[in-house]
Amino acid sequence: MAILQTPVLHAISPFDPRREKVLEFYYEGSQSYKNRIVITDNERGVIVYDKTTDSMRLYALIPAGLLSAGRQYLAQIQVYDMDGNHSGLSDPVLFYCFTAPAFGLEGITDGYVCRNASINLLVHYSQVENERLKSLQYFLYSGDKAPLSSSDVIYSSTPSGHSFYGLQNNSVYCLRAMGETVHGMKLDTGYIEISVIYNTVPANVVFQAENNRQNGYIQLTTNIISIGYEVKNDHYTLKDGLLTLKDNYLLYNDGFQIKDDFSLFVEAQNLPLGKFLTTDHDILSLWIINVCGTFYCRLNVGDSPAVYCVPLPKARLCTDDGRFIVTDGDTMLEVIDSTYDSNDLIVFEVKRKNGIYGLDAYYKPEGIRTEVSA
Amino acid sequence: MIFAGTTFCSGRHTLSPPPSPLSGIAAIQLFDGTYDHLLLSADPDAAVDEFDSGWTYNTKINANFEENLEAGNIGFSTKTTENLVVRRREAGTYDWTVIYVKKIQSADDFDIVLRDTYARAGVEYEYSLSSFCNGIENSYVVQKVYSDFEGFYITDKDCLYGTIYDVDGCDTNRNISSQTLNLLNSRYLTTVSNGGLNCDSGSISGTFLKTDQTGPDLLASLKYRNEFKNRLADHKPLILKIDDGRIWMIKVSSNPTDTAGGHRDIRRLQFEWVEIGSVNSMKDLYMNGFSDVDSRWW
Repeated sequence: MAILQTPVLHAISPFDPRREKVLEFYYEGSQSYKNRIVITDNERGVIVYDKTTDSMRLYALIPAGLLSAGRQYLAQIQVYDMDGNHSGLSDPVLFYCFTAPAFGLEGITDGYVCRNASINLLVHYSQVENERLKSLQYFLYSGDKAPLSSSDVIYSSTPSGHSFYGLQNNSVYCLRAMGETVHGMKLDTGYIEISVIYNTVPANVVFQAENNRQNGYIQLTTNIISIGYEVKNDHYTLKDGLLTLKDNYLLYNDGFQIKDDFSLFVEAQNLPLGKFLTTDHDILSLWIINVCGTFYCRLNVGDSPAVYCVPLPKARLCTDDGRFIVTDGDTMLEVIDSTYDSNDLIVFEVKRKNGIYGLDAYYKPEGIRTEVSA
Repeated sequence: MIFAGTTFCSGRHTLSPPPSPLSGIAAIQLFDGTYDHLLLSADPDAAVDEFDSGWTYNTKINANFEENLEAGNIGFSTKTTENLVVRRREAGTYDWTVIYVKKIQSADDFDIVLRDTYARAGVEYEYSLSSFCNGIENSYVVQKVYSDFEGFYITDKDCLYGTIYDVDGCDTNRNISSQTLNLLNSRYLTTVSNGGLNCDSGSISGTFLKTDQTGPDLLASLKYRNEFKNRLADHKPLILKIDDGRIWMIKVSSNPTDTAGGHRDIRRLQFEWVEIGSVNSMKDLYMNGFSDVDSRWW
């Protein structure tokens, strides 16, 4: 009987014994017809599995549920050919069985919406048999999984965090963390898709970058926009979010300019008859006027002979408990009111669009609306 | 038909809106009354809901008269910004290099004038200005600029010296650790590389001359060269950048020489250098004194 060449078992990484495991080996020689696998409990020295399988392929299978988590084992392989010749048992290969650890990103799952231009990542790791973490690394991919950035490999038994900055608004990214335990068990969160949606800081901070070719540097400047104003005198009060001017005016005259179309809103009450708002050089002015007993807001535009008028909002109908009554078309019921209730806050709206002015006066949408059929 | 000067609404433009002046608005004046809010927006489709939504890119004035007459957005910015961070990256790449961090305590702190002397030539850079609050980046504004200059420059956090005259090619060597062995059983040589050495070294020279409107300023040139030599000789790390786009973090490794270049007032300075770190590493920039951005921002 001939002795076949001893096979060599490949290294075996730790695995969860609840799942079956394929052990591959290397063998050269007379065609392998059967293989025998022997598993020994390394601590007790007891053979826990010994099975010969008719297979020409160079691997053996450990069935799921055979071994126990938290233990270390030795594996050996032996091959047989068609004529019954066999090899010696291979050198034993040590391996570990651990329950698959819990490994994921804290607070971030597939479909997460990030409301910032940066994201802080921290993995959570736990393992039943207290197998310690050895290293981990964070990765950032684009939405189609092209790699963008990664952290350094973090060697620590305690999970450490990492942040990715500069995420673009309205974009999709994929996050991933990979790690390894002390005994070589591989950890992977897989691709976790996130969406980045945030409110951008308005361009009140002016930011300029300019190349200074003669002196070899880039000049960066920022500044904030501040609106300059002046008041005629101290006869004004600020209370409960309301500014009251008496024998006075407030003029905003620095730090802004509109050249084209615009929207102007002013919410006000207790406006006496006459002009209450104007722009520079009286290009545009708003007036409260009374025509035949009805109060109007009038918009004058420069020297144009045309004026725009809109009646002040009419009284609205409401129930005893303050609910505004509306039609089934969501229109508030109103009555013609010949008096101007100056205590109501009215929104005066002036728009210029494509060179054409528009004026409106209304109550700010508010209150509980009760729908009735009219 | 026109009768008594009118077409009685049958004219083509009778119902068109009357022409109105289209002047700009640079001032708004409010008279007697009680005001709750004033908002001016460059968006003609803006809705009154914007009273509560704060500033947008189109907002020009937003005064809510809560505690003051302010109509700008100073309060908005200082409320949402703890640190202002300036970062740089080459266009087309992803990773940013933080080059400046400023703590924000008042509106005046938003005014920054900064010189980035570590930008190499022939590259389009993106600079971002980010608002950070509680360690979280809220959002950022990005500006692009093409970096370009002539000659070469030596710089660190406090100085910038350079010249465009007679700049040599700045020849370099790439240093690696390698040893050749002659093994008894091999026809060929074997190399052994023990170590991670992989950096540049080289030399550079140029004529340093200061000029004014009339021509060369010899006294200023002498002073400039002496200051430059003092800087080369103080053993501190420097950044060398040249107009072909190369840039290194270096230390001077030889005696700087000062030789006449055809005339005794045309002085040529030359020195050798070795690379000591990466200009793209925030840690190397901080540890070698080029940046004040500490490890909280790496």
